[in-house]
Amino acid sequence: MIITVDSNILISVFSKDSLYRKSAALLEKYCSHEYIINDCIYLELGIHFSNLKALGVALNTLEIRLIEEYERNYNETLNAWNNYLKKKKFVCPSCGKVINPICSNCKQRLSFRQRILTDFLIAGFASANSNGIITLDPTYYRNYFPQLIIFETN
Amino acid sequence: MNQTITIRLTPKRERLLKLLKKRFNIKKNSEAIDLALSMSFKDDADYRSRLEKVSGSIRLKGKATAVKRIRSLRDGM
Repeated sequence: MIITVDSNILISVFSKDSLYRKSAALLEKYCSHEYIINDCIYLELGIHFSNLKALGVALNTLEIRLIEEYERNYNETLNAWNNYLKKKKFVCPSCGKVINPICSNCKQRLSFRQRILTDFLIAGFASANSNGIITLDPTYYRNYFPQLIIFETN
Repeated sequence: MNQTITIRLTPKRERLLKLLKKRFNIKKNSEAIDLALSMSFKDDADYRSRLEKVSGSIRLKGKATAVKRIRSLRDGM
């Protein structure tokens, strides 16, 4: 089986944060399978390292392969993103409350970027090039890519 | 005290057992099963040590978790 590893799993392992045990357990559980990442995940990891060579060594140690040339299912990615844009609400990233921000001066409705394309590119990659994904943040994948298998610890 | 378990020898198990015995020049089924079990456990232990080896190679600011860090990157915040 081929499994996509989401950035948050790897950042959790590399930083040994409070979610380390869960991330390590997930990677360990499926370690007999092939782990892959795409360029989006690679770049999200890369900004945390002083150089890409150090990242390469860490990825090699965990036998995680960067796929540079891969199948892109633009239709599926666009459909999911379009679906998200139609339902989009402004949600406070801290408390989760849905808000309608308005400028106090001109009364214009304000917008800010939420959930940009990366999630959809990663899910589209995982869907077209692997059997599923391991992630610590599955909500949007479940909502917008219901056919994508999310591997769990249980 | 040793315990005895009985397992059904399905065609797939029989084929894999034969392959294992042939590859490692083993005659007894029990020895082949011992070897397969210890090999599979060794792999896990090996991967666990690799995880330990790369852990702590980066630092996140404060008490941020990887989920929050990646979320903020993707949300552009």
